[in-house]
Amino acid sequence: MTTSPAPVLSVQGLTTELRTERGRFNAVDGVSFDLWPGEVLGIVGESGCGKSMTALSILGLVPQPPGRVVAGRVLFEGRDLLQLPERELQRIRGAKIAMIFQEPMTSLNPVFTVGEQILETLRQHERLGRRAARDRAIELLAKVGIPSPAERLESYPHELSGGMRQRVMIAIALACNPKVLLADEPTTALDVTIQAQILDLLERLQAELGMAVVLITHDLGIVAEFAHRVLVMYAGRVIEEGPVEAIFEAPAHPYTRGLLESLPDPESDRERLQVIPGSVPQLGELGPGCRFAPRCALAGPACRQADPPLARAGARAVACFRAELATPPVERVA
Amino acid sequence: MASEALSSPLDAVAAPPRRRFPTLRRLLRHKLFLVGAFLFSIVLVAALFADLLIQVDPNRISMRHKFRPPGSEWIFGTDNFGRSQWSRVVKGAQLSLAIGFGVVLLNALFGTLLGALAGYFRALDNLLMRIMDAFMAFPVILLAIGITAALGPGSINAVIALAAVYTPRTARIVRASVLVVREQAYVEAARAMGASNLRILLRHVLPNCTAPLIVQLTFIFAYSVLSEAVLSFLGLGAAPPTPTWGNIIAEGRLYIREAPWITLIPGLALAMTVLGLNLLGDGLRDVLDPRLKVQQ
Amino acid sequence: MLRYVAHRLLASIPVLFLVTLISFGLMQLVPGDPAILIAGLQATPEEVERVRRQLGLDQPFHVQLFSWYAHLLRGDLGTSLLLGRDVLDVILERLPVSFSIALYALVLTVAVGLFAGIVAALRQNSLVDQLVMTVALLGVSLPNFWLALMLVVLFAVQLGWLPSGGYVDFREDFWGWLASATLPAVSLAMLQMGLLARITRSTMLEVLRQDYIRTARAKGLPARLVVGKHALKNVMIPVVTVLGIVTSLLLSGSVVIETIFSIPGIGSLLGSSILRRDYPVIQGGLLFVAAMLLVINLLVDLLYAWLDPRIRYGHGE
Repeated sequence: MTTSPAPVLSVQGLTTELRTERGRFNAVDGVSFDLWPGEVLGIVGESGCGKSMTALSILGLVPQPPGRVVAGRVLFEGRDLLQLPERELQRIRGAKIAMIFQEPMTSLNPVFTVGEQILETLRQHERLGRRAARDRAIELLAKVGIPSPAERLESYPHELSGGMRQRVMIAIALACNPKVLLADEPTTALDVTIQAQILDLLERLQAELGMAVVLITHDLGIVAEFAHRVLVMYAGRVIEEGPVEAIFEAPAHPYTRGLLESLPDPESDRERLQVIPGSVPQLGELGPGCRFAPRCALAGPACRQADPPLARAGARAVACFRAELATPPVERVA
Repeated sequence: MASEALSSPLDAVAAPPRRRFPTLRRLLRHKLFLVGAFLFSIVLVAALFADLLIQVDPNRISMRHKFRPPGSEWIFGTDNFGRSQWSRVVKGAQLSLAIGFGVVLLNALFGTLLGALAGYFRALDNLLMRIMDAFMAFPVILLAIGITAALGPGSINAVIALAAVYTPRTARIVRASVLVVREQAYVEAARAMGASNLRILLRHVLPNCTAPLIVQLTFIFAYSVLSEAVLSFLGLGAAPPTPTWGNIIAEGRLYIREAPWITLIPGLALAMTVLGLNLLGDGLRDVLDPRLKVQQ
Repeated sequence: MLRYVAHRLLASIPVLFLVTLISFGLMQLVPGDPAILIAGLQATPEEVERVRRQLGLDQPFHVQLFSWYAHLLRGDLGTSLLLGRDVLDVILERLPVSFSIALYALVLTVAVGLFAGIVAALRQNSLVDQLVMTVALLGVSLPNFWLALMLVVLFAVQLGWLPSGGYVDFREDFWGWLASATLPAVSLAMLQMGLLARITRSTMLEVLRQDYIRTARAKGLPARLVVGKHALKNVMIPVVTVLGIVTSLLLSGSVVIETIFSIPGIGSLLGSSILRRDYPVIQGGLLFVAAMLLVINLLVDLLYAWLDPRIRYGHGE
């Protein structure tokens, strides 16, 4: 495991509330994790589980209304980002912590050139001369693998393909050499072949620049390939955490197991994919028990009465009363 | 990759419980819609029961009673001929709504017809739309003035003129909806099963254009009432002594210093009607046609 | 860009042709014998005959149509029956007057409507928002001619701050012009101000929800740039497209407003020609205004293309 002395980013008890017509509920509910320097941390879960909202909360980008961060701490360079005034936070956004999004088609402003959208980030955070800024922008475009970068500076987003736009987004994110990159489903909207290219690019840049990456995805295949550690979220909570190999080898939470079983396995002759019965609970209508209990084959009476806490054992953690039933006995957790 | 395998068990969303009349429920929760309904129904009731509400003939002249301000004897006061303003304004409501309704009816008929033809039969589209464009190149009131000036003043001619002016606008909206609907899978399916063009249009395409049409017609109602007032203000509506809000204001204008209520009251009635209809239109649009949502 | 301009220009030619046809057709709507109507019921048969010949009403339909176009091509919109003068001359003489008032109203509309809409959107559901939206709703609901009369009562009759009518040429006395044009311009602009404020607000709210606004914030740009640069340029695109409609509404309103304030513009010319059945003026005035609007819409299209690169480079329609 990582031996670095301190995490680069430490999220503690982060809770983000959403107000809807049906009432309030916590889209992110007491999420905690540490991000270590140079690490790729995968956050997986199905849509609506709060993984994107977690990333937006870290940078203070939760749309308000309807959302609001109501509790927790986000420690970065010795300061709690949640307590920082907007002006201070602006100095960190895009400079020290950058973010890329799921939708490359809509994440770039259609009425400004690619060059302008890179240059304004540089202008905002760094004192560079006109010439130097332009050179840096060209260098960035080259770095993310865009051909004839100098000409592309004059292009508008609609003139680029989805993959190219995501490369531009990455170039913008990397403009100021951030320490942390939050990548929210960076490849979901792209073709499969382009997905691989973008992920390879991210992996290469991550190694080259030594930044820490939070890779948010619903795709376990991507996590297996690129992440070092993984956080599994369900209905706003972290339900399992640990090194990727360990979790793929022996998932402790029944939900994680369900996710892994629904992956197509080329080595197995299983004809049909396993499916987790039921669907994600409406967040407004949660009972007192484990949030996964209604869909869980192993759920007992205890599971319906109290929500299991996240229990740690070494590098792993799981939030499940029946974890030992779900895991092979060798790797007993909690 | 795994995404497709994952999406099936995970993206399923529990269907919300179905209630009856969901549109009506949402309308009844829309506060401004209710305000609009309230304002408009006042005018509507006045128009429908005008003859019960009026004690004095709107055209009975009584010079002894001229320029009486609003009060207990004369609710809305009297004008320069001592005629009851209450009677005249209530009668005006009747005429205003009748004209507005007439324009809406003609609009619904010809707007739908032209819009459906243009949207459904591509061969006609270009020609019809250029003609619509040409009509829409004229400012609304100016064209209506031109048409009524040619046809001669009068309520019927005002209805014809306003219908001619607003129909191209309605047709455009119907056409836009038809263009969207005709590409839908169920229309393809009906065509594949050998349904005739007419049948497809009537059974599948038009029913799916009603939402934007209803919203549009509500606004057309508002504009028509307003435009009719302009026409009769200019002397192109019903000829005096028949009271219309427009010609009452035009007459009252001459006495605006000594008897401002003659001008004020029909203007307020007009504003209330148009405001009510605009609010109804906004509410209907919010609920029926969320794509066009203008948040209240 | 050039291709786009050429395309727009070509597309407006058939519309212009149809506009001239509609203007011609208006005369054909006149029921009965237009010559008698125009000359008046007291007119002698000789006078009626003279009017008939003067308007070419004694000619068959196709000859009338042909002569309409023959005159149009020479820039001849006919002769006013009442003034006995060339219609185009009369219109051009009155154009600066109408233009100055309309421009004043347009500036008011854009400045106030845009600003109010943006402020309302940024403070969504606040007191300011509700106030702006209420005023905007009243603006689109109050009849402008009635509003004009009420403004006259308040500002001219009661307070005596501004003249109740008349027009001062801006080339002679700018401040006099401003005083005489303010009430007309305000009454003329109310409707469009309300319209624009409502459209601006809803567009702004829509734009603020877009992903690229989130990107701009994620880059660490201050609110000043996120709103003033990234949002504003996108808001301007739909707002510019309604400028054509706004101008059209202004011209619509000018007939009553110029009549009420006795402003010697094109609107009051049309207003006074209606009742006196000066058909050549009505016909020519309508055609002139429609043609002017076509040109304005062309300019709006160019502005739109300049703002939106997707149009400029021929993507999308």
